[in-house]
Amino acid sequence: MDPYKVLGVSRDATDDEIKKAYRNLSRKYHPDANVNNPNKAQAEEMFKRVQQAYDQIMKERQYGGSSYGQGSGQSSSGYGPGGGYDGGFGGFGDFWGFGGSYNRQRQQSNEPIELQAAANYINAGHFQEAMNVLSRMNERTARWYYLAAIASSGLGSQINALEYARTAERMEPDNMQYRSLVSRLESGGAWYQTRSDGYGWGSGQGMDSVCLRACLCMSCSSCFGMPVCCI
Amino acid sequence: MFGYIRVNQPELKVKDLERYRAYYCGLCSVIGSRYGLFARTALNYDMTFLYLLHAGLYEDTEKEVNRKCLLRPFSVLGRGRKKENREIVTESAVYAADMNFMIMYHKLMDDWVDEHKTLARITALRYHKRYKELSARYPRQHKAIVRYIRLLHRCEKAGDADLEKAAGLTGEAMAEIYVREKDCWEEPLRSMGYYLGKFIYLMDAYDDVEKDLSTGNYNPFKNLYREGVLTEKAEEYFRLLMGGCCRAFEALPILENADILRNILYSGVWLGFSETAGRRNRAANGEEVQTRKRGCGK
Repeated sequence: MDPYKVLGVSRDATDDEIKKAYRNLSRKYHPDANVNNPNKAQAEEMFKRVQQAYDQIMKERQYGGSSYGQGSGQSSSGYGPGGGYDGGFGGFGDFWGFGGSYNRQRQQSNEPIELQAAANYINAGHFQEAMNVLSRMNERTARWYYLAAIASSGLGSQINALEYARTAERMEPDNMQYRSLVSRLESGGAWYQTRSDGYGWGSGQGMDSVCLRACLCMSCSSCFGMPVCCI
Repeated sequence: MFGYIRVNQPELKVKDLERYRAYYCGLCSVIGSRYGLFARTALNYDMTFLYLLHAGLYEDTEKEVNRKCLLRPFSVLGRGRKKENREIVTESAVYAADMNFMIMYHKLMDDWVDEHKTLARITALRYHKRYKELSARYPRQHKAIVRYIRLLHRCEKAGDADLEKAAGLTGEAMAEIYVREKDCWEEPLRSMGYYLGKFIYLMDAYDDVEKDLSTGNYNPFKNLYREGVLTEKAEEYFRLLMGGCCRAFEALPILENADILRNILYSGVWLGFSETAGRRNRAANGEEVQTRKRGCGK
């Protein structure tokens, strides 16, 4: 079922239009609003459908189509905000796809058994276990950094993930897999920067150019060493 | 370590700024009526953000009141001739007030344990009964905060080299606080809290790095600072974290307060960073100027 049809909006609707449509429909079909409705069951069914449609559209738009539930790794790291949300919801869904091609490569190379184990854990979504195996290894090859980057990302450590991926790329600059991982990990920050340009925080804005009177009311605060009273 | 999640005032529309203030004052008065005057002073911008976020997401019915405020006796000066504060109170204020109180209580206990501040202990004792009630009402959040404090102490004591370890712990606690109830918005809220918690911890570390270097306290940014790449690296890391936070935010169907929330998320959160970076920048330049002067004198 086309989620856009459920919400009654076109495919090129803006995010805000979708949110508005969702709000209107969910208010209309909300169980509380249909207590005395003879078609109560139908309204409830519609309510669920609207919710699903909204979820699906937002996942597609914000996370490029990977779904919430993809990260089977959630169980391994407890609830793991990063592991759970980012692994599943957060757009690194493609990593699970790397298992197939990885297995083929593995048979050809004489990769240490620990790296194979770590890769298997990653494929199963057990990022913490993968990280445990990796951290016990002394020999750190580019492949090691690559796997550590994926495991860190799955655990919600984006900063470590990026640094590991960069190290892998530095060690083997020609490896497309490493390079694409780096740019994928960088993409969140780039996306954010583009968006924040519209909110008075352009990339070119220097450190001092921003007016710092933001210490709203309440008290005198010393910004830049000078007491600025902003009551 | 709180107060980084605030608005960028000059970039905000006047009506939105009024609204933001009304939310701030509304939350403050709810805290006051529930926990008394002292607890009001512990209100911070981060909790006001949570209040705005929940109110926007759950579209609560708003109640507006105008009230004179003890804590802002000079409000006459800044706000024309108006002597009363506009306050917006919704159901979400109660949750934010309770969370603010729980965090304040643990902060007091922490001050007692770490620095043996007797006053903190006395105040905490006074609030003990209230806290007990709250921990029964919000067991999930209570557990998360207690666990956080325990693990953070351990991590800081061990001097963990992992840049994201302590920040991640803060994120995990914040994630639980951001989830008010287990509904269909649990995941995006959890994610927002996780990234913001990380952001707050690292922003605080970024602010305090010189101080921590001289006192020997734990700071995950020490190495980057010594290498002289801190500002550049930190800016990228903060952007990465805010990217994660905002992706989750944009997935939420928030229309009300959206302009204010976006002002905070895309701009206001950087004010603290630019203050510190500017301070460091000037300190570095100032030193140069001074050496040059000294050179001339010779």
